[in-house]
Amino acid sequence: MLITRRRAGESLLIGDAIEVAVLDVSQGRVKLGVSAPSELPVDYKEWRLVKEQNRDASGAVSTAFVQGILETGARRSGEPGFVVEARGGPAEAVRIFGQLKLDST
Amino acid sequence: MSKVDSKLFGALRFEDDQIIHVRSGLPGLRHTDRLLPVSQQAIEPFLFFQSIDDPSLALLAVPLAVAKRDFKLYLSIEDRKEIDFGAGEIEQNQADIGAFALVSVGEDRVPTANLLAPLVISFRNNLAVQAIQQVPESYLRYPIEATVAREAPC
Repeated sequence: MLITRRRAGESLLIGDAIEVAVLDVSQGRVKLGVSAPSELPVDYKEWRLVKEQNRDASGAVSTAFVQGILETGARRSGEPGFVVEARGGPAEAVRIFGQLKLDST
Repeated sequence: MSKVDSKLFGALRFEDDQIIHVRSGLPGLRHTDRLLPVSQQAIEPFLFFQSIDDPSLALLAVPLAVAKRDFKLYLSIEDRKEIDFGAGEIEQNQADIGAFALVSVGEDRVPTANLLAPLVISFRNNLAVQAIQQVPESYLRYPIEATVAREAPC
């Protein structure tokens, strides 16, 4: 990883087509300007990671895994099966969620 | 009453006030702006968020506090706007919101919860946002197997 110091108004060039300019620095935040060819996607890193992880979560619900959870749950409850239902709406989730701690920072 | 023919659950009937609206959708996924929470007593504390517009899409999730008991949620001003909460308003009405981590599972791997971007839901208006947290990148795939086993109801 290249580590360097730049001031507001200065830039970095990556190859011939990409420029990263430091536009402003204040209150612990840096305002950047990125010039890049339109075919190159520019994303926040965390945004890109979340996109990929969401796709992983959407495709990875294995029937075997879910069945394993259900069978375990059925053994615990002593019932031969269970009823699939959408019950109570989102407020129902409060019951299993409990109290939330907020980060006030 | 409306109905979605879920690939995972079969026919699910629901009322409009059960729908969770994610105005911006979930990053990287289409048809995730209207979700239906599907809870089953036998699999608590897990639950699913079934897409209403894509019957094949059901996202497994777990309450954030179950995935990591001491997790402190961060909500930016932009995220608060997405669920129609003003600055400081959530702190006064914490019971009005819930947060859930989407779960990734697969054969021969430990289930993980996405603590980097939990789904935060306002129970006041059924609006939700996937709120990116200021946490280490490793929280993207936070192992939950042991945690859930310990927290699951007996």
